[in-house]
Amino acid sequence: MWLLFFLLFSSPVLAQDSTDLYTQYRTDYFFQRDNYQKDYLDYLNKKDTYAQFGTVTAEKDKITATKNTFLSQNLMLKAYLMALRTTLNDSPENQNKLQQYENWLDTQNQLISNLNSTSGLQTWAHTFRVQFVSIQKELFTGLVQGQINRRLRTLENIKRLAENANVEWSSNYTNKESIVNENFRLALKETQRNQREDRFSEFYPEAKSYLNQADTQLKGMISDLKSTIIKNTK
Amino acid sequence: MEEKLYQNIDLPQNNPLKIPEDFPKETKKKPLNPKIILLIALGIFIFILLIASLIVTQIRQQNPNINAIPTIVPITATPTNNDSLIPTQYQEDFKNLEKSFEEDPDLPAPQIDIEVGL
Repeated sequence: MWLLFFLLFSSPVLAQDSTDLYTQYRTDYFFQRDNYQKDYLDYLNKKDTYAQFGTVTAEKDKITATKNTFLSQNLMLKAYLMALRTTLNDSPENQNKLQQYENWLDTQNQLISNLNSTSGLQTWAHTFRVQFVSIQKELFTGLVQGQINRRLRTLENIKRLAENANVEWSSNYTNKESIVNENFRLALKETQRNQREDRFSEFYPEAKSYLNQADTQLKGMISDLKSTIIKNTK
Repeated sequence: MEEKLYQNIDLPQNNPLKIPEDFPKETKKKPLNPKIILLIALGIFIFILLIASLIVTQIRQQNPNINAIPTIVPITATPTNNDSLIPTQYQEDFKNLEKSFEEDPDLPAPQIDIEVGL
């Protein structure tokens, strides 16, 4: 009886799609971010105490707090990259690069666990500082690429709708389409900006402005298509 | 007449040229400070403006037609494409297209202090 009840009313386990995964990883990222912020505040306190008293105990506390901050920082970064990766199903190359950094962060956390001296932690901090430039570059490139992919899907859907409604893809649409593609090209060009070894040069706001311009054109295309369809049905 | 010994005999000659002593004294007028003049001028100007505004307000109240001052009316773009005019089979597609603009990932980039441990 119970078995029958269970079979009748239990919902089947479905494979998680990318949206579910994104929501899951996003939640995880916010959790890890909170942890990082706690550890970071603790680190600042311990650092101050050590600067004030300079005792052996204070130094040990500072080392522990630094390690914890590094560990939670890497976990937070990894969670972010994982969430971002789920939005890049159309760009396996970007996904692979993000995955490489996720693996790197995992390896680093194993290394950090074995560090027990201030000098060891300083060396690691220098290594991370250099690597973080590459991570940020890949992270923001992924964000831009994900947004381009979304807009490309919108463009495809506009074309499909025009085709279904027997609307000719006239020069008006072609012009706007080429402007959209040009904006994508320029946004991607921003992501290729040369970076210094230890300092990240931000490019996301500039790339985002090109994406916004592409949005304007896409919205114009949708509006034109609406007008044409309404006109054709009259 | 008995002569008074203490009488000043030169007294009548105190004013030998007979210049009249009761001529009007010249009074020197102090020039007004230019700042005060400016203040007074401003005060007068403001007072005139006040009076003028009071008069205008009263006239407007008496004659409501004058109140119709041309004001800038924000022109709201009237949507040329009323969604209800779109054939029903395409309405859902258009909704999805418009919704797709809200699908960018809402994930704030992590903020990290890279000075930790240095």
